[in-house]
Amino acid sequence: MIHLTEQNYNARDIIRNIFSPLIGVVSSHMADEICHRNNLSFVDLLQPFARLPSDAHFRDVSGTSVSIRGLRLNFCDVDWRPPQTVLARKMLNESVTNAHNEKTKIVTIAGIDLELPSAEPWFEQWRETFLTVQFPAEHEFTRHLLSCLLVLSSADPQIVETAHKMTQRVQQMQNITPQKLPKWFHPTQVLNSYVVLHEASHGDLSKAQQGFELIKSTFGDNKCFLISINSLEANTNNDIPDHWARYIKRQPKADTIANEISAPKSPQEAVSVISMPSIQMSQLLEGAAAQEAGSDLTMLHPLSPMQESATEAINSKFSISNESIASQTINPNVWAADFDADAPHGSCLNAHDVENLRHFVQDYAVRALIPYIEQLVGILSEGVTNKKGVSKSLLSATKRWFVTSKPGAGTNNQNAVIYTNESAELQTRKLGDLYFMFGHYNLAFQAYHQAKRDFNADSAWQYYAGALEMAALSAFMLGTSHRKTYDYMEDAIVCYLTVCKLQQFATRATLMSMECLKTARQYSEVAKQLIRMTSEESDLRSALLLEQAAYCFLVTQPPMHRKYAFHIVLAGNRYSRAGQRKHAFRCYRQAYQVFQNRHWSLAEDHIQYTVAKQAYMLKKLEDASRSFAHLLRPGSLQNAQQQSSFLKEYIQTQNELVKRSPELGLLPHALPHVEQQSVRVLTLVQPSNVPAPQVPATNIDIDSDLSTDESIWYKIEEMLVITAASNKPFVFKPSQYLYNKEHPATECPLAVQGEPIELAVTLSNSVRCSITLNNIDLLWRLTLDNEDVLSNVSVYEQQDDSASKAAVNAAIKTTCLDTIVLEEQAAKTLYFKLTPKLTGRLHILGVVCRMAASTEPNASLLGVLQFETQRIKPATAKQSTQTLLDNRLSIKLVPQVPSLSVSFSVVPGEILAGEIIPVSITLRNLGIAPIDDIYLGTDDPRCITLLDQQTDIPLSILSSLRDLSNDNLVKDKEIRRQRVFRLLQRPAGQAALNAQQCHTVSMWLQAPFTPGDFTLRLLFYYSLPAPLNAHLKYRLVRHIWKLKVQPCLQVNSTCVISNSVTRELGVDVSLKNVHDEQKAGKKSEVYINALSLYSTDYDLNEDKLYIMNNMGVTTGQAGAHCLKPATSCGFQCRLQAKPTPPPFTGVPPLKTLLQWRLTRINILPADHAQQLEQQIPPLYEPHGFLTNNETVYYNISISSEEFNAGIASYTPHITLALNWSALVQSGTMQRIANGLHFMKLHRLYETSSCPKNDAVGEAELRNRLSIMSETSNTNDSSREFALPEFFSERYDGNKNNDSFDDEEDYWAPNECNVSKRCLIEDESFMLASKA
Amino acid sequence: MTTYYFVIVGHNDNPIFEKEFTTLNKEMRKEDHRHLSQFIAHAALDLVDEHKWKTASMQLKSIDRFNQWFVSAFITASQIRFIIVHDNKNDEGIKSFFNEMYDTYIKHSMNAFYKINTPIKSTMFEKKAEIFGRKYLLT
Repeated sequence: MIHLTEQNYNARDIIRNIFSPLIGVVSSHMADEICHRNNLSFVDLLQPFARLPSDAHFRDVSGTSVSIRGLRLNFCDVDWRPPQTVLARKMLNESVTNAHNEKTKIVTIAGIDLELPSAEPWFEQWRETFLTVQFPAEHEFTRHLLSCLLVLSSADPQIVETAHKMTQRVQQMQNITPQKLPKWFHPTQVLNSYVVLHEASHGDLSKAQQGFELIKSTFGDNKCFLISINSLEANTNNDIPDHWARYIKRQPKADTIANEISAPKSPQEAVSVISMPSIQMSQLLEGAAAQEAGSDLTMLHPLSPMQESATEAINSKFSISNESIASQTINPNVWAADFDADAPHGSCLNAHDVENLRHFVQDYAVRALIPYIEQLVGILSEGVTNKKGVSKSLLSATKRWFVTSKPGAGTNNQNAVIYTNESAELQTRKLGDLYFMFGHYNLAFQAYHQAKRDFNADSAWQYYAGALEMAALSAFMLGTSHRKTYDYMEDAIVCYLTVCKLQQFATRATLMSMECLKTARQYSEVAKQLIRMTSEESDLRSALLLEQAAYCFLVTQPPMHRKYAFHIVLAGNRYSRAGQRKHAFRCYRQAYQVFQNRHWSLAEDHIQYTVAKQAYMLKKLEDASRSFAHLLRPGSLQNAQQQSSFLKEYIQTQNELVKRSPELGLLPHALPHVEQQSVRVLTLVQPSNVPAPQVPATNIDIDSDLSTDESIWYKIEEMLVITAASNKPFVFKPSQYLYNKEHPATECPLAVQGEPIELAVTLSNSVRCSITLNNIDLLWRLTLDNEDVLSNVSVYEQQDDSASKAAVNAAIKTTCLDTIVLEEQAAKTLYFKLTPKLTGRLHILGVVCRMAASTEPNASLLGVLQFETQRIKPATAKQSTQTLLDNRLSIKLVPQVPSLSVSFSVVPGEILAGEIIPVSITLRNLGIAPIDDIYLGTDDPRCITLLDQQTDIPLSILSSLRDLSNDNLVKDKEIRRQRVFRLLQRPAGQAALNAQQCHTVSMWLQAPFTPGDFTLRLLFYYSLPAPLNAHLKYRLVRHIWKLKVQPCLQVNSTCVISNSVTRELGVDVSLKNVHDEQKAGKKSEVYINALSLYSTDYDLNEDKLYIMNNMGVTTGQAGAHCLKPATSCGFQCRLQAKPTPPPFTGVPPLKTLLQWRLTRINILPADHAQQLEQQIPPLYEPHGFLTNNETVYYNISISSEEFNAGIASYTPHITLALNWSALVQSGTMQRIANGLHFMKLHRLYETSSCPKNDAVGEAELRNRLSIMSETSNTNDSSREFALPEFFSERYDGNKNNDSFDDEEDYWAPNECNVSKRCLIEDESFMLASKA
Repeated sequence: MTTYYFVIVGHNDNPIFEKEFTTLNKEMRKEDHRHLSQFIAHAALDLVDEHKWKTASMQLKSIDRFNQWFVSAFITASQIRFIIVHDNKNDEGIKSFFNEMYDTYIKHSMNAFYKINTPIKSTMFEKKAEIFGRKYLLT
């Protein structure tokens, strides 16, 4: 046997072992029995000792002694025959199948870590088998038996007869002509030696000696050997190591598991393993066949599946069907398998016996074999020299001198010459072989070189190639190989391949060449030669050689890792065609290491698909489904049809995996993808179910965009919290209910037991076919307060445990859509609502669902879409790279707390400028505990009034009564007072709202005067009973109104001196209905109900109302005097000084103050003006809008200086309030709106407008500034005066005959009106002059 | 019946632009060759690296062969590699095509919004490749 594996042989050892001298063995039955006690045959018994322990000496013809180092004898049963083709093929296959090496090494090339097998035993095993199964050829003699051992037993009573019989049998074999197998090196004169085995434990040594002496005397001293073995009884403990295990070929039993898994039963099956989804492949095969037939380049797609052609192996003459291979046993005679390979070997041998065996081999070589070889060399060299130049035919001699012959030059001259055994050429070759086998490489090279020339001359190409091959090897063994000798090998391979068409020999030569070239580090040459040997003939061989070539590319300088990747793919492809799934799987996996993350999308897909398929067949379902999952990655270039078939196979594989290994639990889906950034969680927001006409507070919903006005809410919240805390110092932190990408959770969100938690997540489908998700649910894990853990994962993992299922269902209730369909490459958002019934810590793990292709809804796969915890950057440390983990999916569940439901009466979406709408706020305590305080905060306090609001006099009104500049007012507190209202204030100790109690609060809302979008935010704050919950101190309800304000009425008013004689003051008011009918799509009729005056010194003169312009006034639906759109009217009313001094001193209640300062006249009231007016709060009430109008609201960002300046100064003015009603009609809907317009007048001849237009607004600002400067200039800051008052002083003064001429000095110029006045005077002058 | 597979390969051996030119009509077209072309082109990168220092020219001509497929390559000054896998000889056409594509690539790479080594996703680039492919390779 040839042994090349597992011994770390170097190239020279390998070649020496391949060409070790072959010794035949024939043994008697009794001798066999002795050996079998050791579970071995005699041949096997000698295997571990076949190598001589010491140097032998060998004398060549010239008498020089050559020392032979490490000679190895190759013992072989004479009855051994190389297996027939089909069997040989099976053996080759199995040698590869059964060789594994799980160990890997990491090689880093170009930054890529390649994980390669640390050794390739499959290749070594295959090479060994390949060389072993070769038939001995005619043109070389290294595989011929040199000598023969006849093995006898000392126990044989007729030992000499037996020896004679055996000798006869052997001689018959040797002398038969024509030679049959086994072939003999020198048939006429074979060295037959006799070995007597003595069993030390059974027989008597002296008797054995007797028999041995007998044999010795019969056959000659030097030819006979006695070995004493079996010193031990069988089954006794034996301490010598098992030398044999690694030499005994393990023959697998017919149907082992490995066999079943790794080798397909038929080539057809092998095809199905590798083919890409059938659509493409069938096209390819047909196409390729059609188009390439007959062309010189005919080559099927190199990565295509191909039926393994049946032409492999030595002689293709035998065509035996696959079935008969399967039925043929692997052991026709001597294939080691009648011994149990697993049982221990050599159990009867002690150390002494082993030494005896070792000694025998040495003894045999020195005493019998080498002298015989020396003799043989003598004979052969004599023959060669004698016949040289004599025996050659004249023809060949001429040829030799005149023709430079080249292989393949002539046509069909293959083996034209037949040599007899005695021909000088063959003798030369034999001589070379002998020298080579016994390590005399120098003479071997000379002999081969001579033979080569002779064969070349005779055009005996097979012989020629053989001689070339051996010459090259001799040179290599000698260590003198150079360019030329490598070329010898190259020529030999080409000659075998192209001229002789002997694939087998070409392959063998390539394997030798590979060793030589590797030693010389010519790796790219090796790769070239190996790749050349890949053919369609044998997939297995091609696969092995391609793999070796691939590894060669990795050790070239520089390494060519991309070439490696390609060839390892090609090798993998061939392996799969040869049915070697494990190796195919391994090769493709190795290739993927180079291709991954390089975006060679289609190549990657091919690799992944093959890996997946092979893994599936190998039952490596995890690998298979991972690869299938990779094929479904986003950005794949595969078409829809392909992807849907990938998806189908993925679902199938994954399902099988789950079935096979239920311990894996729920597996993540490859599809669809969770957009992790899109996970949003909303907690602490109450459900909004209120009876129909009521509108629930808008609150935050899960889709809210928090990017715009969150800071406003936070400010309101801060004011509320500080107000409620009544100035207890603490650090304010806004509460957060919605957690999303922009607002990550740095702390665990809180949620209340029994209140829903909302969760939204966006899923995207990355493949080109639509998928359906069924039975969607959220996966969660709940850690209870007593550290028990509940999770609904178990419900999905083992579906039968109904007890835990019930417990889980009771813990948390989840609602969501049951089914969604994701179209190709679409994204959809899923909404979940979880209601926890217990407290503890809730972790939301992911979405569980059944996923299926929409086209095949029945093949569905249960799996999970996991949520990943996102990394967030803490807002506090902007520079640092440190990140935190987001906590939005670990929610803390706290016990039930009061919960306030807020709802409102309906507010129309489109309102008129200045319109006042009564709103009732319904507050309901949904919880089981009372709510102590409720506060309401708003961002725009001017627009709302509340019925039961506190009746403090606003600072700006108070400043008209007394100077506030010395009051110690805190800016922030005043700002809060303006914006925060306390609702349902109860005496101390009483809760604002008891459990389940409901209250309604009246509120009015006034639209601003500027048309356009109007947003009003209300934030309700309610505190929670302190001992109830440490985590949650208060809760909030948000409401936002987004209204559209339509323009309605434009009012301008001016204070004039209406009678220059009496100096009576009048107010001109002009109005216009500016409602844009076309734009708004609505009609509106405006009725001017009443005008009120707010002044410290004047009343409206109820008798003097002059309608100046009533041209536009027409009859409307609700009264006789209505102002239709785009019409206008005007009137003047007169002022008179208040007849009585104020009936109070100091600071009266607000209502009293307002009542005293207000006077009112009706203008052109609508029919039911009185009724209509009741809709809006009366002006004199603290919750009337006059108060709001008179209040100066401080901007939150105002500085303290501005604030102090603001409260210290009081600007004297009068305020006009115009009460109107309007009938708005859109389609059939009709609505009556009521509203107030306010105008402040500071100065005479100043026009004030409502809504303010820009020009007027600017003028007013200027006026105010001038007044401010004026008041500060007068140095008499304690003196309060409203402008009309001041005028009346003048008037009074005038009455008192004060100089009227001073007036002009006194009045500050009024740019706005001077020119107007001039014009009027001019006109009056003109009229006067005309008259 | 000719097929050309053109690929621009970035510095990390990543394809940044791929295009196939063929005279085959849709039904005859074998989708399946596309991954093989990728394998061949990728394997040829080793030879591009070997050849690029041996010549001063950017045109590396035909550098590799696998069965009936030839590989021609071109390397830009910044070591971006253009590779064509083709099944018939057309040295002149390929040379012109490479030159034109080099021009186009240079212009594209000057776009401030294009990052070197990232996939080229420009319809203009695509269109140009199509035009040059038809002009030099398929005629």
